[in-house]
Amino acid sequence: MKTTIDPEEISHFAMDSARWWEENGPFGPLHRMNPVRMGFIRDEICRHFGEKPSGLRPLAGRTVLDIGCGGGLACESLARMGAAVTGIDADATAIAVAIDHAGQSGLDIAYRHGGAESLLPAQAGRYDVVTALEIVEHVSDLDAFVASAAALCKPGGLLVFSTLNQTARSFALGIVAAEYILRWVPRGTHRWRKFVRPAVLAAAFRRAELSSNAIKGIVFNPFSGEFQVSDKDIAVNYVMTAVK
Amino acid sequence: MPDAFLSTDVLIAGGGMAGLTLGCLLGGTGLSVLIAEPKTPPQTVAPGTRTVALFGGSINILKAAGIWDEIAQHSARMETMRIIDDTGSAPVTLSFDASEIGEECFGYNIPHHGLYPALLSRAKALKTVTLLTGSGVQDYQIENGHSLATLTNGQTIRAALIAGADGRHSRVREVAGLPCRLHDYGQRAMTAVIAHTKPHDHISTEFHRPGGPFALVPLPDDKDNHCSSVVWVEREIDAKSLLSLDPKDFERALQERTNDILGAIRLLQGPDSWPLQWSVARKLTAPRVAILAESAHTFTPLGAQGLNLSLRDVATLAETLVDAAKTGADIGSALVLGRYERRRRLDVLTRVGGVNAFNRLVSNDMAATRLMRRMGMKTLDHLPPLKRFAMQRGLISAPDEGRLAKGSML
Repeated sequence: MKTTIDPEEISHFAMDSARWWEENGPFGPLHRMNPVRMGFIRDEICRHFGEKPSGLRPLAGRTVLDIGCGGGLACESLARMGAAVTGIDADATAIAVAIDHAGQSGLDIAYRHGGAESLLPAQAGRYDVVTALEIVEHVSDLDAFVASAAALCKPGGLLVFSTLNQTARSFALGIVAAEYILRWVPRGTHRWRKFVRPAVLAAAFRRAELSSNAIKGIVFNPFSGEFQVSDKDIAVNYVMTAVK
Repeated sequence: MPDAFLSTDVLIAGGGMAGLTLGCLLGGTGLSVLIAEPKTPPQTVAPGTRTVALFGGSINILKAAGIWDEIAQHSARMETMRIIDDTGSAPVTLSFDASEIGEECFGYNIPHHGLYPALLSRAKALKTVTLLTGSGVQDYQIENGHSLATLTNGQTIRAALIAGADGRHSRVREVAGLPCRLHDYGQRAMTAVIAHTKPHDHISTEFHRPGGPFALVPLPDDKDNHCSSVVWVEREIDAKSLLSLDPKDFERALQERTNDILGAIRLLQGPDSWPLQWSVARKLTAPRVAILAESAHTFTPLGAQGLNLSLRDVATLAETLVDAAKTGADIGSALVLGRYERRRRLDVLTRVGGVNAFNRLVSNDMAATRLMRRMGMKTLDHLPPLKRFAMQRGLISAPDEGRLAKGSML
């Protein structure tokens, strides 16, 4: 199968991979965005499978694959919520950091190095939930990537994608502010031309025979210094779910 | 992990009121909690002079901790707060009634020997709470993803977060390098329990005098008497001479000080005493550490703000940790601790600052301040909306009070 990995993207991330878990480091915005992202994903998973989120392990019994897991920020949260988690990333350094950190956190997570397509056909249809968070803006072939993610998901399972929209505001905030003014992330982290509009992602879902489900924005509130879920504002960061 | 380590989500340093309440709140949520208390708690707590006046929000927090039903029987309602300015020739009285803000009472006065055993047995009953007594937190170091604490008995505990509820001389705060200096007020607090011939009618009375406040707070009647607790603050030198009196003479001095508002009084317990100090930590968190309650702030018992403020720390920390845990977050991460810091800092600084300013004002002998104070109290009494506002600021609400204080569950 054709690879969806963009080597230039991987070498860019590998420069900072050792610093994945520094809360104020180059991946700081992901740390800040993670709680709200995880709260939304938890609720969506529970809703999809007809359960009410309760207690501290609402995802117990669910198998989740996180594609493009990086240092394991989302994997560790999902594992703490009870899910059996597999994380895969094309950046070998990030995977080494993720394995090391999960050990320190006392969490049992299966990490793999490679692209999503490398899990096929062996793990086809194995996962209740497949997540691809802040990753499609870095892949070389969106359709092939979505097709692989869909193939790994169980029939009736849920897919959760989050990414940056391609708007004037996402250019102003995601690139100009985040990389040049606030210096939240290193310059060159994102290329605006590779940002993915919701319609483009939805079209890729359709071609992979997935039905689009919910879409929500994730917006930064400068007063609280935290991110929050928004029903309306999907102009910068957004999360989209689909059902296989 | 080697077996020599005990692992827990939250290590609470200190098994006093704050530490136990935090343990009881978190213990009901599924987070694992280990409480390390240096002292060994006695089998039974003898009735003593220590009582705490807790306002509405604090009572809600105790309800959420699952202990209110057990302590309600030991507690007396405070329906009216009476403040008497007793510095001039004619005392000026200002009364706040709970009905003015649509409440049945402001809160309850609870004896320590009712509150503490209830917290202790609740903490022991919770499966996710481990109580280690006779050994406190001595030191800790931060590793990747967790902290490793050493107890005074040499045991090592691995925890995602250390909650420093180990009192005004907090060892956790010291190891964390959070500066917090103790200041002396030059005053001493004396506490006692008295029996009296007139009923207290659920009125809590605070006399303001140059030496410091003198408070009579309702207690439940025992089978023969009406009872109240006394908190009496004097300048250190005056307190020393009062404490050197024999019990009959001390009783007489107390009788005189009450202006006979409770009839003839009799000393049942006490007096106990301790020097008053104040302190406030500028920062409440360090990597994998949050400090709370007396580890973060101490001040005069004036206005009974201390434990109420501490319980708001406890509730906010519990809420912040549980909300984070529900999204699978590392509860000891800087992000989570930053949220606790932001939610608590304003309340802590304004309360300590406000109580100290008020203490300076009421403990001041200068005629001009006195006149202003008396006029201020009179003005306040004739302006109901303003009075209500003052009551609410002082007795009920706080910035970002949190859902537990408002009566919701975790």
